[in-house]
Amino acid sequence: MYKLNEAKMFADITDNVAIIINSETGIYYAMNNCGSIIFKDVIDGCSTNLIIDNLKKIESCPNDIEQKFKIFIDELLKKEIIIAGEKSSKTPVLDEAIIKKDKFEMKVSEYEDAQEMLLADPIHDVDEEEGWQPVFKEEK
Amino acid sequence: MTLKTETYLLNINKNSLIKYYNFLDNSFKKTADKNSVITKYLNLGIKTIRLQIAFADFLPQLEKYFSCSLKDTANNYDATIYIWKDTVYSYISEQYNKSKWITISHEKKEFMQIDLENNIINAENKEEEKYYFIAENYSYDILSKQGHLFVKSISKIIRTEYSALVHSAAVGINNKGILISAKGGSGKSTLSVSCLTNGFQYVSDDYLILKKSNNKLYASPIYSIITLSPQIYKQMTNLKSEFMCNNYNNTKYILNISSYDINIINNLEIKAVVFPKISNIAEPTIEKTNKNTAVTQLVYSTATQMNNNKDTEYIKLLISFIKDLDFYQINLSQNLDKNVTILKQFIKEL
Repeated sequence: MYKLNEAKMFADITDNVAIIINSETGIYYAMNNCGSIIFKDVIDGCSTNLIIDNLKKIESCPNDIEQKFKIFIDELLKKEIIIAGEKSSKTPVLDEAIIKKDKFEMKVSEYEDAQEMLLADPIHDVDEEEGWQPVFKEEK
Repeated sequence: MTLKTETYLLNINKNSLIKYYNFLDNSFKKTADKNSVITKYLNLGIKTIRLQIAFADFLPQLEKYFSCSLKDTANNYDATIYIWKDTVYSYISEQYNKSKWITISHEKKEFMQIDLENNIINAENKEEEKYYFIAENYSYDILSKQGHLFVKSISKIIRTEYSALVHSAAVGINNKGILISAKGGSGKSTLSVSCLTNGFQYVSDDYLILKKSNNKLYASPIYSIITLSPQIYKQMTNLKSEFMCNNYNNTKYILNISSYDINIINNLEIKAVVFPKISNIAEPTIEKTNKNTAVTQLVYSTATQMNNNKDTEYIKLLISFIKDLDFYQINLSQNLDKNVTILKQFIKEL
């Protein structure tokens, strides 16, 4: 079983969104809703077999759920977000509606600003006295 | 009317950056030639910021925002903010003027944000500690659309290896202080302003400066304003404040509290972090808590609001300031006086 790597990580799960900050690197991670609620069970020390069993009971659970779960856990271990821990007696709490809405996908990612649009240098033609010259439009 | 939807991040090279700084300096000079320039200083304890204001009508607003820190004179200063009024569209190429937000960066460091919804420009020349604030309209309503005035520039100016601007409230009793930390809408302002009206020492309900010195942590104020929801404002019948405007999404009032400047103190030593939790219990309680939630929310909300969420050094700095403090959760009742009473006792016993 697993627990949060508290020596390095601070984590908060509010409104079904997990935010984890690595205090050594300054990098923070976010999870989608499905990943967040399963992550909560993982760091609570719930049995991973029990989490998988409960996921399988949810209608429309994909056949490869064990593989998806393993990939998720491996990612958390690789990023050192979780480490091995004691098994607890807690029962997994899985919100079926959220898991279905995210199609059983568990995602953990470094923060990214998806709205960025990278463009080449756009202001090379600025005039130090006059600023921008209006874009020339040919009169027809 | 053209719908503005696009957000651009534009990268420029070093030559363009230098030319653009010269253009900004020249633009200020041109405005200053036409209008007299007023000089004021923000005394923020660890740093002093010179304000060069080429727009006299703006002074009353500045005095409302910063009455606890605004000074007429200073022995020296660490940075300058140049403030003038101009048409924002003349500062960006026409090809981008239908977007709503443009960020211009050089070598992954942002130096300019153009807000074309509110027609406000923030720019910085960090090497020379020169900052620029240009707006077409200097009404409170417009300026509040970007959050607290100059907050991003101030954040950059005061950041050192031992100081940073932080999104948190702070209050104290007998020079023993606490941070009240949580993300927005968690009761931070309500609790801290309730403390203010009940005679606590007060630093801020929203943004403050944290400074580490000799292994102690100190909080200092920047602003003389608070933000409260209309419902909470109605409950605080003894609050002496002046309405300035609504906040960016019209959910809260922004109020001037300069009548309490005597309660607002610099260098309040911080002994603990209190994480507020809104509940319906009759009697409030305070209990020791795991630091995970409070640290994460404080760091995340500060980094996000300062647009520094990719700045790993900044995030590490924020964590290093607070991680060794004791963390408590206050389970708030609906009775503001009871919340204040239990907090007063708690701080006295720290």
